[in-house]
Amino acid sequence: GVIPPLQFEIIGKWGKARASKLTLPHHVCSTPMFMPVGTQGTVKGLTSQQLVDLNCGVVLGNTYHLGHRPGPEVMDSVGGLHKFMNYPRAMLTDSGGFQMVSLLQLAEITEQGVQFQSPHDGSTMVLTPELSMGIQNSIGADIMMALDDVVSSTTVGPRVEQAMYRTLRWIDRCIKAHKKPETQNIFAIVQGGLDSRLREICMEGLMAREFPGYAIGGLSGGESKDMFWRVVHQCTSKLPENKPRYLMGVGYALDLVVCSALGVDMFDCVFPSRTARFGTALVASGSLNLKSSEYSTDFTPIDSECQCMVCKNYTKAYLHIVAGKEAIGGQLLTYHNIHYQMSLMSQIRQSIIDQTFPNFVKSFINKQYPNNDCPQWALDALKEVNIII
Amino acid sequence: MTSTFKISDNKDEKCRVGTLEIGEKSYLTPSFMLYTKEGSPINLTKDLLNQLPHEKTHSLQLLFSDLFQFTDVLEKFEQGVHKFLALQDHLLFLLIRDSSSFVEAEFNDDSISVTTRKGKTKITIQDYIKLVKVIKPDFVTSLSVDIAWETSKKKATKIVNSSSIWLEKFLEANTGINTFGVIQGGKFEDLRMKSLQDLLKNKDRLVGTILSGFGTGETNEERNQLINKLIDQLPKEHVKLISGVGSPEEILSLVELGIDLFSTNYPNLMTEWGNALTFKYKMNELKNNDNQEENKINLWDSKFVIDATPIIKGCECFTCIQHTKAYIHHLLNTHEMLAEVLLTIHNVSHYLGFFEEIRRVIKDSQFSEYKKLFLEKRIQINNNSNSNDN
Ligand SMILES: [Zn+2]
Ligand SMILES: [Zn+2]
Repeated sequence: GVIPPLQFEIIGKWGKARASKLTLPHHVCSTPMFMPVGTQGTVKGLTSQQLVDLNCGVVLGNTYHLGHRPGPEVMDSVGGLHKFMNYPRAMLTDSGGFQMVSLLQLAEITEQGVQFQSPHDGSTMVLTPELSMGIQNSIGADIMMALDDVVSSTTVGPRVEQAMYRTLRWIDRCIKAHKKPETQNIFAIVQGGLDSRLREICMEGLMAREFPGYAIGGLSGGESKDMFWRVVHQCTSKLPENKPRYLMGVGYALDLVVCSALGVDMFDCVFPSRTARFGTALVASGSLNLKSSEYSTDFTPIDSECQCMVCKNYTKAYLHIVAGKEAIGGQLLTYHNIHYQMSLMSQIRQSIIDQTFPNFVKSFINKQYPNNDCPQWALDALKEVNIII
Repeated sequence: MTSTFKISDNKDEKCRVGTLEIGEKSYLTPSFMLYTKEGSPINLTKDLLNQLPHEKTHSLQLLFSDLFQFTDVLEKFEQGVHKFLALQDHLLFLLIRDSSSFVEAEFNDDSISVTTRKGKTKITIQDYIKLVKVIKPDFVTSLSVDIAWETSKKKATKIVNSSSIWLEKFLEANTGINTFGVIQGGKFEDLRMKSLQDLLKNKDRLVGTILSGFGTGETNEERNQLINKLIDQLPKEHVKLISGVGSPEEILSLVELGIDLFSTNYPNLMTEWGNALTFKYKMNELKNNDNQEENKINLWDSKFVIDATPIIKGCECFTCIQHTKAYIHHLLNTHEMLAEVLLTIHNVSHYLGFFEEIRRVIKDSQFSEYKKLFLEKRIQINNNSNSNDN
């Protein structure tokens, strides 16, 4: 068939960790990378230009939300999401299935697709693989996610196996329904819960179909961190070396560092922008709740080493006044937090290229956990890839 | 830092172009002051503020009730309110009247009542002097509170007298900050004149005058009549500031009378309602009679759902260069914060452009013609849209 519009070139490696150049139709990205979430065509309060200023590469859009408003007809008529929000760089859309299952009480999965009651008019609708691809084709993101049968990572028993096999059956319907293979990539999602046998079968099935990239799904849903990293490790060990790997819904700093060490290339999470609106700033030592009175007369920036517009201009004392209260507080903290994520990823990337990755990981952990209280799962995961803290 | 104010020679007309200078900063009038909350212009982070078109240096209305809540912090900060608010490039006016909403404040002989997030506080003239010295804005209003047009003569007399006493005390304290006197008196001409006479005793120690208590229920005719009389007796070199009045029509009639600065939240109010200002303000566009546009558009309107054009083609603002009506409509529809950010940028820019044109036509001695054309066009469009509604 058609050669997918994606090139992946590894430019540095340390153990399983890789730094690479990911060429997508709209942008050449550097991985490992964090992708901010712009659920409804905007990353909370930031302009598309500010996202470019922050050197974001890929921005996420949510198919469930965008499919409802403004809807695929609008997307078609304005020429897709890139044009609609005037974001010149790369974008990725999810399949819509996960959001439905998590947001709608009455969603039910059948062989046909995700059946749900419209929250708007109460009618019964089905998100099929065909419909998901159709909406995602209208949105026009550089990367589309295949519709998968998602189960919570804490689910056990035959449902997990059923979901994994259904994901494999749906994938062929996705491929068939994809109308723009020259300009958009499909990533397949590895399912199988916490069961390594099922994950193995799923990966074999997906890899046989040769996708331009693979995602690790079904994690970050309340499973133990010990199980979490083992599944990631299993997947990154088996998935093709020459294809990007995307760990869905993961974005806490420690997870980013550990999973980059395990060989993940792409991450997304709403956490940095959400926590900003509640008044929290991300820093090397963890996070600062700027609403706390301890910052009321702190005249230093959020992070004196941060080069972002916020840290160059505003003090914690001022941010304390507006954090969690005024719109401008949300705008400023979201700006800084996205910058923090971008800067963390660029440090990871550079240290992989410079062959100093273990040192970077050590200094990162020392700053986040100065009392030697780094969670054991992270130490175990890092040890597995020969980074001894 | 001492300011200077130079005004254009304008023969017979009262409207004038002024240059307000303080330190390195230079600012042209007539203009309007950006509305702020907790010291920040609404929705405009530093990068967005500093890329607005039409003027580089902005003036901002700092609300005393907002700043009051963190004067202790400013005192410890020691590097000044400009740096604290990341507004070093701009002119900061400390004002008591909130231009977004008028509530008649309480006062008595020696204090005013200030409503803050934490409740009400009494501020005496001594407190005020102390706080102003800490805040150190570029310009400050002498202590006073606005009363409504329909306030009783008794109350109006009281605020006139108190304001005069407070002005004396404020100036005695030598804060070193450029001060505006306040003319009070509600609808009573005799009281307004008394307030004016008291102010004139100190005219050389003031950089300007605030015409207080307007936008509180008076008609345009009542307002214009009174202001006309007052301005005639005020020193020419005073900066004349008015608060709480700021629609395009009002601005033109007040500029004509010699008002230099407007403290208004009109562009922000438009934003809150989802409106984008689209009225034509360029002289040559007003002369050209065939473009029947609207004065403003409401972006909640579903007719914009696939409208991939900017609010105004050719507008120099970030929003119009980068984004479409369809996108802003979607952002409103999904209650995304960016809707207000983009509308604020456009509406504030549009107003800055409007004032830029006002200054240009004054310089070219075309103001009367401009005003006439502008109002004719506006009435015509309003009539058209009314008849369309029926
Ligand atoms: Zn920062
Ligand atoms: Zn504009």
